[in-house]
Amino acid sequence: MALWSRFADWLGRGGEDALSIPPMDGKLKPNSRLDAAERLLRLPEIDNLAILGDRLVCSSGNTLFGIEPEGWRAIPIHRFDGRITAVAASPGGVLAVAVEGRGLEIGSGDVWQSRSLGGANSCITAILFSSEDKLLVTVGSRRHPWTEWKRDLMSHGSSGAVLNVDVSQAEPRVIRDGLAFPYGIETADGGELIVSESWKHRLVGMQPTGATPHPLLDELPAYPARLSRASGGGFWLALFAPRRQLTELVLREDDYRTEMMATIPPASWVGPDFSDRADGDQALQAGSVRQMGIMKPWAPSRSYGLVVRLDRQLQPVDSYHSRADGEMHGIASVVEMRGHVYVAARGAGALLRLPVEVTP
Amino acid sequence: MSGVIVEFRDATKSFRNVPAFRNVNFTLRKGEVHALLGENGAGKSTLTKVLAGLYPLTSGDMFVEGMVRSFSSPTEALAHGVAMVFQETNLIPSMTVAQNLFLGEESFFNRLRGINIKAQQQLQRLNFHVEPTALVSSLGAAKKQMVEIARAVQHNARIFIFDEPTATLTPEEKQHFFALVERLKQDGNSIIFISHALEEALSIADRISIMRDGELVVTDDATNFTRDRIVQAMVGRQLKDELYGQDAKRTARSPGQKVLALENVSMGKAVRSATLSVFAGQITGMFGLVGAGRTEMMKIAAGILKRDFFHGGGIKLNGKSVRFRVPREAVKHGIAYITEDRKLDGLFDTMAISENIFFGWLAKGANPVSVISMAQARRETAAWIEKLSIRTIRPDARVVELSGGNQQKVVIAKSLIQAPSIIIFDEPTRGVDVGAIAEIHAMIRSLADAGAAVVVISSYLPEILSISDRILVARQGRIVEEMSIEEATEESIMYAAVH
Repeated sequence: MALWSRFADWLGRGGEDALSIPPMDGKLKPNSRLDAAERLLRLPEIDNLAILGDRLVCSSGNTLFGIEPEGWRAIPIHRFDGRITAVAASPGGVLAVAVEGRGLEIGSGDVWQSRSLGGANSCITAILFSSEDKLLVTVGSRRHPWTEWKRDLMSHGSSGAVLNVDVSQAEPRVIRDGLAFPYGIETADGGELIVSESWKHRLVGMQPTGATPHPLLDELPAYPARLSRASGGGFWLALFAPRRQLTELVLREDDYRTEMMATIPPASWVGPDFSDRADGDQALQAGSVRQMGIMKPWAPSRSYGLVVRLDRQLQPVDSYHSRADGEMHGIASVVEMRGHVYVAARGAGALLRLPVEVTP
Repeated sequence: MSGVIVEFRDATKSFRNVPAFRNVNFTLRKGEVHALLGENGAGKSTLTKVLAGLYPLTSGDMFVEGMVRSFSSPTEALAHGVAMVFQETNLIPSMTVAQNLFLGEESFFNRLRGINIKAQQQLQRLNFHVEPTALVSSLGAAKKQMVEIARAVQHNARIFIFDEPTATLTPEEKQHFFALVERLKQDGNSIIFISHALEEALSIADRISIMRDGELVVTDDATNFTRDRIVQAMVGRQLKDELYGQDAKRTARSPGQKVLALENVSMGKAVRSATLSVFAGQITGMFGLVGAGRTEMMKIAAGILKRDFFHGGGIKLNGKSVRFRVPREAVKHGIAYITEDRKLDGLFDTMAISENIFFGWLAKGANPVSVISMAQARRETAAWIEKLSIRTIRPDARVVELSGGNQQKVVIAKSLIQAPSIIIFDEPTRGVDVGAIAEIHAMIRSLADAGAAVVVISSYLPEILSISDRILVARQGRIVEEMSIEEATEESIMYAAVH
């Protein structure tokens, strides 16, 4: 009987047909704390935050900005020849900036040194200084540039990599490749690397020597992006878009997806996004749960705002949300500085500030 | 004696020389609601069973309407106007509601349509929304209780004994029940009302009697009682902080790993895309009105019910997808489901306590071809009898001889002997006295403190509020709200469950 049952499962795809996504409950219970957060400044497509000394820097489009704490103004530091896809700052004040199609730019102010990473140049997603002259770099995809991240997802991309870049050496060392869009990196207390593997909705751990990665936190209800250290131990994790059953269905339907990618502009694809533009011709993108002109917070929107505080064991201890009816969507980056959490809501083009409320 | 319809004088009932109650002097007046309270094992159920014709008295006298009586069967008691609605329902599951209502009163030729119409009228008169043609096996606990009550009313009894009648009813159904009791009283009937919900007794009873350890310790007008006085009389000691008192300083246990996740689980119309998580080291309370699907959700997780084969969602145990085909697989994976209906699903009630507990151990994974050591069985079960303070004369006593609270402890021991990591309690204190409730709650808390993931399904809001670290509210087959203990109130939970 059990054998027959298993056979029937196989025929009907059994558990595979579930199209289920993990619930946002427990410490991930939805709230609207991101919408209630202090909005420091507006900056279109604000992306990667980093801490340079005692102030914030961030990227937006081609420009690297420094944030003036007084009045919260964004002062341009440097404009590059391409879109900035990642930013990091070393304790010694060195900046590393990834520019789409060009690779890394390392320096400060107006003095910048270019460093090509070959095929990885067009989709560097996160940078971490392991020392003043060594960088750990995540490459989301070797097949698609950063601007085509959605195509990489819809192609079930797994050409991402983690690289160790020594500024003094010519070639970067590949720590691990074959990853499904690694989008963030941090180091644990024991030296292990923690990488957010976005298309697999999980955080994985790996040794700098490149041993097989193992899941540290999986079954995330959203696509994880960048990681940063939290005070008191633990980490902050930005998650840039929600998982939805409709997206999971599309990711399973190969023919549909192929035709969608061939015939429809990416902005209109069924899938996650940094912001939900809710155009009149994209009624379904808002999940159709709109009554009397009001978007319901539980609507299955394709964008969402989510920041999760993780403890040392990478278990969620607190979370900040912007639900379907909120604005602060597409969280690309989060950092903690002097008792506050700073959040880059790329979808809303806003820099937010929140007090740190929970420490593990 | 004027106005007295039932009287016990120096009544004693013993089983194998062990008195269940002794030297009891009790009166029930015409047209009164008399609440009979006491811990499980205090003897109140036995006392009323004597009145209902299940047991004879060992010594002393019982007067009904002024005449000394000793009923030899419930039928004889009913013929003299005494009807008892039992604590555990005694309906025949394979028969319809109407057939159960008229069981024993059938004519030689029965017209099914006729009894269905009569049953419908009877149920409507009581304002009970139960379909007379429905099979009893398809009814939930609350609706079974309604049929039990309707059956007693059906027999035109003058003396009604309700043993824990409201334990399974929703708040709205309770209001209907109280209105029914009031109507019965206005019609001149007398009611003995056994309950563990003290507020209910205080609100509907005219007089209250309290039994403790087989003795009737006090009888007085209900207006002369307070909750504290009742509790003190019941347990013979002060219960600190009341049973369901909420400690304002209580902080929820922080969650450990997510050990169980139901993702968009569906099962027919009972469970519709239900999604929830259960975390280690925490007590997850689940509230919902009858029919909300909370029991079904957890039974699916425990392999007792099967989710829909197609589009039935997914269940993840420690991050891995599982589909249990039989409960045994779930037991082997460390999931224990402790049933809400111990009589039907939880116990072999004519078997010994030790045998019942040992069956739990066997279910965990005993080798089917190995020789079972009965010495080991005795050792294992004796340890659990002691650990859970199961009050019994001897381990080989039959479960049916135990009080409701001790039966519940046997059901719990039967599951805990499996050393589960996820324990689902479905109405753990239903039909259990205050003393045993405190012990069961303490045991549930200790399980969570030891790192187990505990789910407590309860229809009793004070219980949910006092024991849970987080509260899930179910409605119409799905989880509609999650609340922390800081934000949960009785009103907010009920609002989520209803709207």
